[in-house]
Amino acid sequence: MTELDKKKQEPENAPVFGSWRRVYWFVALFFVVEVIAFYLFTQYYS
Amino acid sequence: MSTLDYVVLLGTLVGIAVYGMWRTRSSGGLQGYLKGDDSIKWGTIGLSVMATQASAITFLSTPGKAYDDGMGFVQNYFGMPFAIIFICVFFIPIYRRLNVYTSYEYLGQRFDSKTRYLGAFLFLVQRGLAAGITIYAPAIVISSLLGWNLDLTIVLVGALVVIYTVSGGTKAVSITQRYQMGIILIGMFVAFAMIIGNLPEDVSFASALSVAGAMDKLEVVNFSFDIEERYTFWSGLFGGLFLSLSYFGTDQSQVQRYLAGSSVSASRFGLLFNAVVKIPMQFFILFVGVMVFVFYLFEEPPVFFNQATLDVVSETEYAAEMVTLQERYASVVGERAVAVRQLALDLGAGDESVIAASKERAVALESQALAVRADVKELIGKAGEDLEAKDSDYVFITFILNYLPEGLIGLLVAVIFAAAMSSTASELNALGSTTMVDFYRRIAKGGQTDAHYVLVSRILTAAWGGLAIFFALYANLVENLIEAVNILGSLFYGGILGMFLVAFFVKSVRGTAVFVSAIISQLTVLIMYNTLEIGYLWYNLIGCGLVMMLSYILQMTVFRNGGKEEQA
Repeated sequence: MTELDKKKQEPENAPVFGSWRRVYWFVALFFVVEVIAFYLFTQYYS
Repeated sequence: MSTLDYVVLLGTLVGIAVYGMWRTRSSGGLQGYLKGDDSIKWGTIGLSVMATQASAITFLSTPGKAYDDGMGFVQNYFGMPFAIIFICVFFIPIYRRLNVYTSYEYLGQRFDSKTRYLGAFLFLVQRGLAAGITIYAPAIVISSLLGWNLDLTIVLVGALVVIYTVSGGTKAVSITQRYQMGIILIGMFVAFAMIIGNLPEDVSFASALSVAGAMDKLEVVNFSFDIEERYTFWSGLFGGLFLSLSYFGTDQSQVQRYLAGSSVSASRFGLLFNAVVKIPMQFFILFVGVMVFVFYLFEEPPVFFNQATLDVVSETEYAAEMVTLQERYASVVGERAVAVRQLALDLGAGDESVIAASKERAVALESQALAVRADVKELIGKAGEDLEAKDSDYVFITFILNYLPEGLIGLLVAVIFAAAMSSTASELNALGSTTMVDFYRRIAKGGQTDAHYVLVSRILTAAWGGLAIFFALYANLVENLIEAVNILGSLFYGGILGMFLVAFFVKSVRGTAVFVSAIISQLTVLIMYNTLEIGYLWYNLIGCGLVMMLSYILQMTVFRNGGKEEQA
């Protein structure tokens, strides 16, 4: 990060899961589950 | 279309536009006009971001693409969740802290004026052209099928968007998008239910799925490493990551949506909503297309879905040949319907050897049907150079017009136009804002009143609307429409993203180095696109990588002793 970007960090809370880090993990894991589901779907119907 | 369909269509489109203007009749100064007074809630942001991305092209081309090629296109969106997480972590806090109106303002603050102008200019070129396609896409398809005047359709739809976007600015765009997206989702679920309802009585939903799988339409993920394949897991994940990073992180038509949020949390949550629902939504739209394919396995489809083109061919010396092909097609798809029905029965019975034999026969007949369609397209090409020999954008709307009841046809046509209007509104809003903030306010006039800037923003938005309508009037149908927009984006986005990533993460690089690198990389990408056969998504990565690498090398060599540039 450059100096311009480090001026001030706004404190804020995530509306769910307690922290933004957990929200991001949820989104990433949701994607993984989606891909696994798509893979199984593809295999089942191929 | 019946009178009821026209009432539903006009009532929906005009009603939403009027409501948006009424709700924003008292929008205040420039902050209110361009950023909605930072008052938009996360739910509206989420739907607004979704509506901006999902244009009419999404609902016309995507089902048609699934009809032809199956479900693989969904992989295009695999990089999007990670791109959005990245934007939430790095981009949004910075944009909001610096209180910028446009993403290019940040480039000016981090580098210099020329880099800011270059970023804004590339956006204006790319998005200005795309706005024309956004209006043109539904107009050409629907006007040709319904016999409407194409130019009049383009002008009326374009004018309606321009009126409410100019009138209410960012807030009107966001509010109308909320309702447009609602209509779109309702319409797509209704269409899906109607397709399933129109399947033969002895073909269950499970059988329809099995048949689609047997006909190779349900391959969602493809882990091939072949760089020439357009849609693979890897091109979607990495190319799609860079495309989404650039689109959501630097394209003003999206940045403006989430910068209007009431807080950093609202901006983030609105975007993350899309990270979760976009892939399932695209999957669903593609699935609708596959179900249309299955439906037409039992019903005789047109040999070519653009009837207007067939009518033109019937007036040429190739008319007799076309009739012969149509008769051959009718015969083949008739046999195919019998074979597929047998396949559906055999799949239910579960005897593997019998299923294999049925599948082989159905697939062979499908290949014959495809061969006839290929002959038809070749004949169309011979009949007229100007005739478009692709019909995938006409598949879904043909089904709607032929098999949906009165009222619902109007609703589904409204879905297509609502999607076009929602995307166009964001684009015009962003084009007007960027021209105003990054060019007019800096170059032409300084120190004017807020009211003056609002007036100029309105004029610029209207001017971009006029230009988009002009492009739409003179556009030609280009391959598959959704791909045309994605290709256009991929050629420009990589370079723009590279500039932003250098700005964020490479402290030592200054404006001149990144400016020169961006120009070189843009030219390189355009040359590569015209000479090499690389899947277009990779150009996002190539353009971005080139800018980052070149700017660092140039800064360390040619511009090593360059002084600190002017900030803008």
